[in-house]
Amino acid sequence: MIEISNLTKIYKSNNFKAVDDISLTVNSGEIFGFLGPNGAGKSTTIKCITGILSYDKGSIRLNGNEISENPIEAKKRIGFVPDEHVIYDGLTGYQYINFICNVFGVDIKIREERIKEYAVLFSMEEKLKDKIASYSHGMKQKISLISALVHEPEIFILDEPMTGLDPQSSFNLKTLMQSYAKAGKTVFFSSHILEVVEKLCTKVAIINKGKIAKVFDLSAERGGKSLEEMFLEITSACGESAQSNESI
Amino acid sequence: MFQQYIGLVKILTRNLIGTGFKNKKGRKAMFSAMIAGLLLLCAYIAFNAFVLADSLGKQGFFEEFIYALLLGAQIIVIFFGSFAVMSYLFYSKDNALLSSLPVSPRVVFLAKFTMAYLAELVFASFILIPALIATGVVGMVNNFGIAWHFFITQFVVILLIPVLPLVAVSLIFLPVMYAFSFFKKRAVGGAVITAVMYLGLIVVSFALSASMGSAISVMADGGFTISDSLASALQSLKTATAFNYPAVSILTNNNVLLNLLIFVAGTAIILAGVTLLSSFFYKNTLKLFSEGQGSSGKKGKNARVVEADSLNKSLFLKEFRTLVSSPMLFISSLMGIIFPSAIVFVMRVLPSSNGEEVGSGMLSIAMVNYIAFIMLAGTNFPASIGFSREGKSFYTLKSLPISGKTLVNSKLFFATTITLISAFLTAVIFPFVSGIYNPVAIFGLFLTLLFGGFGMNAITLHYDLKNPNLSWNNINELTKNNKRQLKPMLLAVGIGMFFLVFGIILGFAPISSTAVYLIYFGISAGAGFLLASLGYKKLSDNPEGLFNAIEG
Repeated sequence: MIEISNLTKIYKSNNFKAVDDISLTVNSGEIFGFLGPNGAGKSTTIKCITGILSYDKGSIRLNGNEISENPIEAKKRIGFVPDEHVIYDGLTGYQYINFICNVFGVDIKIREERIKEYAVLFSMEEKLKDKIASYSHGMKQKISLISALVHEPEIFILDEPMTGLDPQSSFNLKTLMQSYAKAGKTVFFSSHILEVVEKLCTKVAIINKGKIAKVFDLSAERGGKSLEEMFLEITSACGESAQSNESI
Repeated sequence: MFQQYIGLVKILTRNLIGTGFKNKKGRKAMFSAMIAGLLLLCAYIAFNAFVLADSLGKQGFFEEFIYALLLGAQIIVIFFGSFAVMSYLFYSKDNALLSSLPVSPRVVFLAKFTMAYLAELVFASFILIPALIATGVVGMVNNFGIAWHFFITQFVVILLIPVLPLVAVSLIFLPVMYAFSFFKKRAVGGAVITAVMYLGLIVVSFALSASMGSAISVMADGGFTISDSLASALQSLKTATAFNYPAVSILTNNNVLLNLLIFVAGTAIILAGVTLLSSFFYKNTLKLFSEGQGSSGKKGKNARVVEADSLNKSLFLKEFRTLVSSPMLFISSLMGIIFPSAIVFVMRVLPSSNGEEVGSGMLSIAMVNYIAFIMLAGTNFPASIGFSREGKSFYTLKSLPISGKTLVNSKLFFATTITLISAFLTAVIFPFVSGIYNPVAIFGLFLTLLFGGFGMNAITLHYDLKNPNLSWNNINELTKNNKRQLKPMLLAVGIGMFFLVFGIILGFAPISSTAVYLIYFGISAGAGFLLASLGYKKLSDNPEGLFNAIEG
């Protein structure tokens, strides 16, 4: 479960309020889509949740652990797939995954099984012995996914997870996310591919200009509107209101 | 083409400057420390140049002294420039991006060469400006044939003097790296080949420095009478560096305009030559390098695919593997291990240069301790750029359940392993090159370097944790053009100076050699221990807070 209360993040370098007093609750067993235009505050929010960025106000609790107060315990619950592939190029796939397993204390037998399982799922069996530097964009995404999954996190956080994945891997990932949610775990991801969000998620939040514009249940009645139409309506309405505020 | 070149140089320079300090306070403090340190260094260089120019000039070797001075600057450019050339030309993160742009490889080569040149020009200027001004003053006062325009034309000489050594370095590296890029595809240890090549350059530079150092020390210690061997050494130096004739002639008022023309035209021609060469070698090398490192992981039955290790061992292995897989960083760290002992080896000329040595061999001991300490403190890159070298991967690390303290300790432990090897090598080599076999001196030197090195590792790692540069483009920006490391380096120089002065003074004490060594190393190892304690305390004061404060 992810509980975000009144989160505010200001970048000190340019005094920019990237996230402005947002509150969200993502329950266990949910697949939660986090949407927003470029620069809306999605990645900043995710970086705050994962402990990469500190924040100025509010709180973030991951299965009851406040990330700013108890970062190690909170991070132990997370499997995180970042939007940038900033993993150690000089290591082989196996070395990197082993490093992550050592950090999370995954038992040797369990890790062997899981690495094999996920390597097959993402067609990486033959590639794990190679240096990450030799991987394609998609393969780097896959190694990020395997390393995030190998310790079977309670909370699975993904920033633009489908980017670079081939259709089969993309399908496998979606199935995996669904089985994770069914197992009572939390899945939180950001994406620009609204069709995927619409098919996969149980709940969606739209963030715009650092504020939560809307949170809604995808199973609820939407007046015949698609997610895309709703997204465009909400974000353009926010834009117009911001513009009229500026002119006032 | 020219516009593209200018545009590229501008953008590379802006990018370099843009990775500086984010807060004005830090920038101002660092700027003040930098100016203070540089002024001190300039004063020291000017004083030595003044004394040597005066001594040698009065015995008819003024011109030879200028030859030696220019060669000294060129050696320094070779020494550091080869690293800059490698970093900018071959191991830069922007190579793939630049390869994809409609810019000719020649333009890319020239722009990168310019960046390396600018970095070396700064170094050469710090040495040559004070040295040449002092030399000019000596020349004017003593009528050594110096004209007023010496003080203007010297800047043309300074501006162009780094070009030749950088071209020489490029001429070596372009074909070798071209060949190496093919090796790399066959999974040959590229870093090792590069390291061997670079160390070859260091040995050549050291050999030249040693021969010059020996000649100068005889002169400095032996008063104003020049020996035949020194006279012949200076003559040989002049003959061997005939390529500097136009530059020296400009300075010594000998056909200034003609030599200026030859100097500028000659520099332009060799630069054009290496640029032409680059259109073949650099183009292909860039392409091959952009292909990545290929499948160089362990293969076969013996490859360990699953390895359970403790968190600390796992972090140590990560440090080691990422170091070895980054050739330029690997070379830098290898330098960190070899430099102090190499310096000690080169310094073997000191005790034999003069019969009237300071008692108990303390001059050589103090010099070794001084130089080795500074080298040890200044070249341990796993400490001084421990966090910066993570680059953007730092944020991945930050999302993992590892405390800042654990990370700090693992990095300190890894850096200290290098210090330990380096201090051990230095202590082992020391008796053979100095002729001092007293175990107190050998063990004392080892402890001083180990404790002092540990302390400096903690201090430099602390500075890096406080203000890391995670957006670097090539490793040269971290290891050399790193303003952040100036304060710790000044501290290391200060402590090293204490070791030097204290050792020389103690050498005059009328007590036995063993007693001298006990006192000297008791105090210097004690100072090292104090530094280690204070450094570690500073580092472990608030690692969590500093670690969490690093944001993108």
